[in-house]
Amino acid sequence: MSHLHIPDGILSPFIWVSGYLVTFVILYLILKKGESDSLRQKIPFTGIAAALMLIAMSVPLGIIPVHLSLASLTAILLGPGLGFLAVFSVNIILALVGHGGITLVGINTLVIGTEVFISSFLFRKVLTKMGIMSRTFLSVSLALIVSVALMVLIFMTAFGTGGEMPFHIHNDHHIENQNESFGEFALLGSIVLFGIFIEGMATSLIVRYFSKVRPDIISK
Amino acid sequence: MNIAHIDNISVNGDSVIHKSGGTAKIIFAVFILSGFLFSTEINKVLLLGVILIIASIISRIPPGTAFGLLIYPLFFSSFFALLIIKESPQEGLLIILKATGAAYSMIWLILTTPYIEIFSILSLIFPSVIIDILFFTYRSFFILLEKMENIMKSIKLKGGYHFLDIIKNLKNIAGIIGLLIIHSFEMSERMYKIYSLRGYDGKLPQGDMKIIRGNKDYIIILAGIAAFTGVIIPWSI
Repeated sequence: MSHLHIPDGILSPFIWVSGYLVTFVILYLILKKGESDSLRQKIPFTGIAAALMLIAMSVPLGIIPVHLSLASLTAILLGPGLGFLAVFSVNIILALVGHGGITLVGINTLVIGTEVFISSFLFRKVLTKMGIMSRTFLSVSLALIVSVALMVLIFMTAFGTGGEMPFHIHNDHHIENQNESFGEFALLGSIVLFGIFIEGMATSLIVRYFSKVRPDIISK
Repeated sequence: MNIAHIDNISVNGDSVIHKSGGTAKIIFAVFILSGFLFSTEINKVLLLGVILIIASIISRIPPGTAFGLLIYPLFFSSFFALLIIKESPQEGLLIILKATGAAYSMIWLILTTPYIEIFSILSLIFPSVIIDILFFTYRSFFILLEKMENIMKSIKLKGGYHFLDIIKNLKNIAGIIGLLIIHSFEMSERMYKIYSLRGYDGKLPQGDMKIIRGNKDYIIILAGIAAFTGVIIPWSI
């Protein structure tokens, strides 16, 4: 859901290089912290979870241009560290087929990684007393809201600080553009909210299903 | 995004480029990509595009597949270009060309080099855990995709998927994914036991990797360097 579909050459090198640097620092910390035995045991499932993310992204939900990402579900299944590694792998594979630029892998991993960290934290530490459906839905929705906000922030920073794209605002068109911009913003906002609802519902339904059949799969 | 189709082209392609070393192709793609990223003139970006088209013709890449993959970056770059096209049509065009060209360099790479070879080369840079995850992702993708397609087919046959009924689609797809996760979990446990029996200790062996396979690899690398240098140096005639 919160995936930056920006191709290469749009964001300034300062932003995408910083994205890579922060991502590599997080990867280093995760690998350093991970206990070798338990980490090694979970590598096959991490790869499989990443493959599931790729498959879910290739199934359209019908007439609307929305697909699932399952990043939060991966976090619930694997925990935040391995979830982040899975997201990084997915982004590399997606970039190789032209879905998001290769220079954007770092930034994309950070945006979706935020979703992974927050949903995992909320699901495992904060909302533990709620029912499985509402617990999952809230964890996923709140994580998505934060990651979408981060995505918007990156957009604003990128274009506000003069990325690759020159931005000019003319004051004489300002007022008439204001109404137009509000309309566009409302449309975009409703699409995003609908996307968050869809991802939240789908993840909740999936978690409810396997919490009945195989509750041991959910990461403690 | 048809990863299985892309994989088929890169593995079964028999052009001279397909038979060249993966390292040379990665270096070529990186130089072309950098050329697109750092070029600020439309002529130079177009020149890089022509070089990639020639490379694609030599590689005998199906044009339909390459174009199909390019629609995605083309669409999203057009969205950004539209924001500034009134102010500067040239800047708008440059954004589209740069973004599409950069994506094309990666698409050319993935259509001429199998994923496995790319992952092996990445193992020189990335920690083994990440490379292993990439390998397991690749390995399980095709198994799960087949399962997913079979279940989707039976759901469609029973009327469980309708283009306009999003809620019904969502419920059914969620059910499929839930089922796939259980299958996957059991598959990963089996996979780990089998790999442990074979001596897996947290690092899949990559085998002896030849960085440069022959003279044609040097030609590919030189072509990449020449293209990059050509677009970066400010020529004045």
